[in-house]
Amino acid sequence: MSQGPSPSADAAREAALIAMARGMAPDLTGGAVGAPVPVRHPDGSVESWFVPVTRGDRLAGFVRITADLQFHSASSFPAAAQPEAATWLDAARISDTALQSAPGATLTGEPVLSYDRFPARIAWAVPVRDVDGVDVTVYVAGATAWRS
Amino acid sequence: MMARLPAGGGRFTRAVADMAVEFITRTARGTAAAVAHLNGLAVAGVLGHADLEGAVVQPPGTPVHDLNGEVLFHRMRLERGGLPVGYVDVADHPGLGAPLVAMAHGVDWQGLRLVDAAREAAAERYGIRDVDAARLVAYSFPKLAVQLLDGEREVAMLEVGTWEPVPERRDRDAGEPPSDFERWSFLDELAEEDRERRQRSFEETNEALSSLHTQVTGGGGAAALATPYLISPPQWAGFIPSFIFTLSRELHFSTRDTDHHPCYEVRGQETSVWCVGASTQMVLDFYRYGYTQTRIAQQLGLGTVQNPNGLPYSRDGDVVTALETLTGNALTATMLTTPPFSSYTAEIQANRPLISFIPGHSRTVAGYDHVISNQPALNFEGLLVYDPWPPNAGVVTRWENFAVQTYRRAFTAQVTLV
Repeated sequence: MSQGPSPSADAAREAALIAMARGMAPDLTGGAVGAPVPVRHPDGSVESWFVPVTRGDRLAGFVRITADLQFHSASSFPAAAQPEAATWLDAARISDTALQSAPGATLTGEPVLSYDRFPARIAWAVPVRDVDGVDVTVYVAGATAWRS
Repeated sequence: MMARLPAGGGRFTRAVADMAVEFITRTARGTAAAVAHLNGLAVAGVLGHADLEGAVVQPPGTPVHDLNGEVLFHRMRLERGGLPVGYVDVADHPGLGAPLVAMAHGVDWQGLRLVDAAREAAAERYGIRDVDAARLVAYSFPKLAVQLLDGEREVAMLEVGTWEPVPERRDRDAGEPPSDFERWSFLDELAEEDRERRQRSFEETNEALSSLHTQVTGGGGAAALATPYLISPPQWAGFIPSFIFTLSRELHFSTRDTDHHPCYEVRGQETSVWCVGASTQMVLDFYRYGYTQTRIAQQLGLGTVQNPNGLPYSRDGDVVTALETLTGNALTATMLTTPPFSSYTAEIQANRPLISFIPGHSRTVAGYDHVISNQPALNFEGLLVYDPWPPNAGVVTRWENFAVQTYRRAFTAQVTLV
């Protein structure tokens, strides 16, 4: 998979911190700002950056920074429904979720944070070979998984 | 509650006195900055129905403490001709990030009466009479309580208005958010990195606004163009171009914002392709229609949970039909194409949510934030988006930068009046 030129993760994190300092993410105040994860187009180039904000082991929300380092958005999960951070940030956990949704399938590659057809539908794309030997992508968003 | 100086002289007393002077100076500076900010908002005409012209801020106001004992802000009454106009919260603590914390219109703020009412409630309801001090505390910022003290010891903390005892502090798991009725310290729970950013932002804003205030009021001297605490857009108008204005609103129970808290809920889409169904559900829930997402999906022709499908582009207009049909035409819906930011602000000002289509996805809009400045880099148009994605969860996006998103359609829904 080709990796297009992309700004550094540090620059994306800095952009997120500046946006937060300007009050653009008030619901994420007090959370720990994690390492940015690139959101990749299907061709591997960077569409945007997903900057996670956690509280303990929960994902409080995330800041999206565009590929050219503009603030895109800041989103928070409802307080009572914050997912485990690992369901969004741990590759092994994400792979497990994908495999559980496709019994008999095997992994054919690493999960890539991407989207299901449109960038607004952010999800991890997990390449698997299904029980019939067909290579497919399973998308994983938190605890939910579905086949392309 | 005023700071007390200990009896006696010496270095310690001088140190405490210096602290008191510094505290008073900081409050006065913050008040000046807040007055400048309010005048800026008034000049920009972004306060909507809240007409503040001729209103006067009444310092020093009532101190409101953090749960850790530090003063967070002072709530100051706004008056016009001696009559109540509202109140303004002026930050004391730089951890709040800006001198002007909040402003409410149409409220008769009388902090001392609240404290007295708390004392009465404590005596009548709970038999608590041995109280030698009482103070307002943001027990769950910005929610207020009155803390009743016997010396340094708390004997009760009663929520303002309900006068229910605020439960004792409990140990929460790491990352667990506070519940709806729970005491927690705003300052102690700020992450160090966030606290530092807020302090820098506070100092910068305070410096800029208090300088502006001095420029306009002449520091209160004979050269004053305006009196120090007056909201007077005509007198401030010539000085405002170097200022930043912010207008923000989110949906409430009604257009009277001070009556109720924000009033809107996110609904996660129940399949990976039911974003339109979930968005329609959010709008219908706002108007108290309790449809399941499955029922709405049926109306929109989106299949079933087991065999779902999305809404094709060619059938965007079905959203209008669904909103009207499912409400028996109590709602009149309209589809807008590539709507400008003003379409969203107009609907939110009227207290109506919108459905927003962007390429490949649907969400709802329940608020906006608009920063206007003569420094283009500081301008910002943001939407408060209730997004049904990710499936079975959903997120609240506060804020989405209007300048970097593509907006395809919006759907408004207005209650049909007779």
